[in-house]
Amino acid sequence: MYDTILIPTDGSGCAKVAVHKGLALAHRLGATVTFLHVLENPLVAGYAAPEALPYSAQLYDDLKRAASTILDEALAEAASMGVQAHAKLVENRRPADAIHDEESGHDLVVMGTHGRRGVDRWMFGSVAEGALRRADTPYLVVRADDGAVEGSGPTGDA
Amino acid sequence: MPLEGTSFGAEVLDAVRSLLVREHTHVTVLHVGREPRTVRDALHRRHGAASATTVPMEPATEAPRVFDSQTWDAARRALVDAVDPEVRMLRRAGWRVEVATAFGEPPDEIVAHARKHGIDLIAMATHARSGLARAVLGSVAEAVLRRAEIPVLMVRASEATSESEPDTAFVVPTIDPA
Repeated sequence: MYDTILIPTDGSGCAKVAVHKGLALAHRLGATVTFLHVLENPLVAGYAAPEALPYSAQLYDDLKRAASTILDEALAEAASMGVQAHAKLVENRRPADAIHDEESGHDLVVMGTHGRRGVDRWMFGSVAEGALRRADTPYLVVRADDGAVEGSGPTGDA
Repeated sequence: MPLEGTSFGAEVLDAVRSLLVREHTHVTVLHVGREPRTVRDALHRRHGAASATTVPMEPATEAPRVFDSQTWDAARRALVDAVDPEVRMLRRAGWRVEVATAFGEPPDEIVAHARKHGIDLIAMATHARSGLARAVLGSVAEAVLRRAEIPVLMVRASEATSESEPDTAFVVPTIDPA
């Protein structure tokens, strides 16, 4: 039933956990994986000051390079596990919107979040929750610090 | 998987079956209900009487629970019965399933249960909503998601099964250590 799994990643620690666990699950289910990375316009997203405007093209190039690195790493991990995967880079879109656009073509979305309280609110508040609120597809939310699940958990392959 | 609604969404059961290995999984269906009305009323009366006369409240709050044990039993049975079709369906399919009940605030009870019993995954349904309400993730689901320290699987329940919200039913699968 779960033939296609979407794993959004921003390259952060908790996203890497999602990549890892999502791939383990895909391996067990024989599913194919799509890695999604969303590149926001730094000016729109608000993390570049207006003074940086003259350099924004260069900044964007840097971000884009970083994005391909993140996706390449995820693809390499998939290949090492024998999971069929492809990567998608979406530009100029809010991450939650991009995930929502993409999820309809998939059977399951695996996302990471920090298990700790406090951090939770921050991490979750933005992207994962925004996507979840409109989700039509099942979401598996995994934690960055639940080591117990790593080996024996439902997403770990035996 | 956590699930909201008086009946399980077929979607959640499908997801559990697709994602988990039957032989390695122990499923607990947790149904959280409200305290039986008569008990609540009794508690209120006792509390009211206690504060009015400044009698220590501790013994007073204990009494109704004992006194109304039949009410509690009936309420518990009702919670178990409500999830019976789904439990049977899972058992017929060869899953090891047990049913647990709790009274109180659903998110508190779910997270507490998961913690106490070493649950590895919470599976739950969120409501399919339309229009304005759609912006609001099931409040129970959202609270669980925020507080749980373990993976949470969320599945949107279809419109048909998600009309009523008062009770909350949960499937909480545990992975066998073996």
